[in-house]
Amino acid sequence: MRLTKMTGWLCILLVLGCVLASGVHSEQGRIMLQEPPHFQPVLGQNGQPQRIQAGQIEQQFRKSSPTLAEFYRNRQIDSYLVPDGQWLGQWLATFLDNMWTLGLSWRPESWDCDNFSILFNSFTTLRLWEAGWTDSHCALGWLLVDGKTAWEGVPPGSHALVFAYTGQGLVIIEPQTGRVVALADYPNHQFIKKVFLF
Amino acid sequence: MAVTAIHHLRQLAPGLDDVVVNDRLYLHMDEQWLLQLVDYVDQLIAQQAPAVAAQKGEIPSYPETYVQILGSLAGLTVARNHEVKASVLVGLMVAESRAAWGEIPGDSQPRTYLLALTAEGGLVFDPVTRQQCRLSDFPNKAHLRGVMF
Repeated sequence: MRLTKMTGWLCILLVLGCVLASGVHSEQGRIMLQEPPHFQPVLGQNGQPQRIQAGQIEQQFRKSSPTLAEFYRNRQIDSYLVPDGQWLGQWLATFLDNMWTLGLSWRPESWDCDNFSILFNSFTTLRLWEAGWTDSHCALGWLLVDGKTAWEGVPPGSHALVFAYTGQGLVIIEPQTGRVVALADYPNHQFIKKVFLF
Repeated sequence: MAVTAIHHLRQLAPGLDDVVVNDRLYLHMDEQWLLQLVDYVDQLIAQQAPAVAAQKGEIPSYPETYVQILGSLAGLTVARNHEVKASVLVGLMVAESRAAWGEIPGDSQPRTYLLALTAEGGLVFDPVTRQQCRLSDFPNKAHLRGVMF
């Protein structure tokens, strides 16, 4: 069987129109989703957005994870916008609410850790674009870890997570539960294998 | 629903070491469905960020973000509508532009494309120019730097 006819296509079309366009829709047959908050960077004392170099992020990961094999980044981007922590929390809460509304909990292979992480990452960039930040990227990405310790209900093994650099440093985000911890407090921080900053 | 194992995926780009594979089993997409998704993502970006849609060739993270959005929407649709333990195969492909490809010059610069596994084989799509071709016909298929699904 091929995916020749996606019966849910119209549904998704409507859903995604709601995700980022006009917030909540109530017409019958549509799914009500929350509009994500507008992107907010951390502002410096001069009122300009705070930025961080990719090399600084990579350095922190390599210090924390001696076994880090690859740090993938877009070479066209030098500096990354530091997201405001409050904005990040609101965006994460909205994301989780919308996943719940869509009935998208973990499903083996078809919708699992990498799907949650990549969706959160790519829609973060879309929120940057929507807010007019088109020349840069958020200091947020995703990673692969070879976990040795269970965390947030996830058993040891290969796992995908989101990370972000906030004003308080690097944090690890579990996009399936909303848990956010400092990189140093993430029990598998030594076993991060690949980081994707794009 | 056709399912392809990892070792078959690697045959899409033989000899390439830098292949990031997140799942174990993958689905072959229908090509028409893929093109519907392309149209939808174009509309989504145009609606949300008109300036990006108008200058997509100038936006540094455009191809990468485009591919991730499209892959996410494809996965989301399948997960909501099909009971299957497999993932849609839409990924990023980075290739050096040694040879020109339509509007894309042969300037040896690395560029990011969308690579999808369809029932007909690998399909390469450029989000900036909207060109597409089979992977077997892609002029820089011998100059791939990395693939991530």
